[in-house]
Amino acid sequence: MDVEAIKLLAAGLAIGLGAIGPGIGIGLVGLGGAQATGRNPEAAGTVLTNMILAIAFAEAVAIYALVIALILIFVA
Amino acid sequence: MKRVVTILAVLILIGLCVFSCFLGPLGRNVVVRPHIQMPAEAFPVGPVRVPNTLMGLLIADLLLIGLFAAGTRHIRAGRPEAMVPRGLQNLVETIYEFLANFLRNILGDRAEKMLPLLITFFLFILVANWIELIPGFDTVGIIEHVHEGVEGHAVQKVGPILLLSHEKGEYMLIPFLRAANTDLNVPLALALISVFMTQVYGVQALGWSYFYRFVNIKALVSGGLMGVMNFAVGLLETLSEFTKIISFGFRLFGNIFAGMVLLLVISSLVPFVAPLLFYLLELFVGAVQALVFMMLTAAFIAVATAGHGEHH
Repeated sequence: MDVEAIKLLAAGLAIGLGAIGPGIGIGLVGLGGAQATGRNPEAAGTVLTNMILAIAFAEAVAIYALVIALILIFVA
Repeated sequence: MKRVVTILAVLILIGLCVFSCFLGPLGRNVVVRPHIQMPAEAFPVGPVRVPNTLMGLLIADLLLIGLFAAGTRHIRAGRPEAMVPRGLQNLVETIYEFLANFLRNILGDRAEKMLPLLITFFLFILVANWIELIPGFDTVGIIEHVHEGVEGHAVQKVGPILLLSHEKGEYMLIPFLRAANTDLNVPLALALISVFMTQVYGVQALGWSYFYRFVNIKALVSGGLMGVMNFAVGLLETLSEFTKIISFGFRLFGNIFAGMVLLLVISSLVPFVAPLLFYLLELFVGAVQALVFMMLTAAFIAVATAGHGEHH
């Protein structure tokens, strides 16, 4: 394999593996949000706000993986 | 009768889909591979080169300013008609009221001062994302000699229009228009504004004691072991201000750039029907990203402006 091929492979692996954790995390947040809204529909607004906040924090990890992948493809 | 028309329409759509997959460009292997590049392409206007994301940005700005200038003209002129809103004014007021109430729920009575910034974030990002979906973005432009390190295409002339063809050649397309948020500079600028204004509002609400959040000397002097812990937490808090800039910027950029790539690739693979679903998805993603940006900024401002007393 030449360097270019390894770079592409590394970028794919970086974002692919990096998205597993946040994917599970966001799924769990959605589960919690749906359950909370089901149990207490009046609190839907507050639950939504907190849910999106938590999703954003989980997603940030995937974003770091994306940054690494973009650096590998376009910069390194 | 109506049912027959529906079934016929569906059949025609499926037929077009199959045609484009097997007999059309894809089947005959004559697809023009979209050229994807991260920095904005720049097309020449006289002596200077203008980045196409700048054009997308200006169009989004003009649309928003035009809409709101037209919607609020009676209010600004102080005419009595403003008391009974009609037409555009209704639309503009509905948008504003909806967003303002939403933010008042998060920020409480501190909201009024921050409303203009937060609502501008939302509306600007929303419009800048959605204009990407207008046909002509990323696809209409001028054809130039290929730059170094890029795979070129041959061109063919159809009437007055030049088209790229699938054969290898030495020409490439420089689109006139591209969504502003597919250029990393725009989301990063928005992220910097967001984080900076959070500090400003924090200082305005708590005075200089706001910075005890980051360098907690009080706890270090008086608190013993827990004080040292609190001091370390303050240092982490400082670090998180910087990671906020990265995650704000790259979240918006990543989502919108990935959307652009997705639309380009799908439209070149299956030109009929299939892109529709992804246009719908992008409509959703664009709105969600705008909402997330506004809500996260609001939530961070709410945390930064909450005094120590309010926590307990």
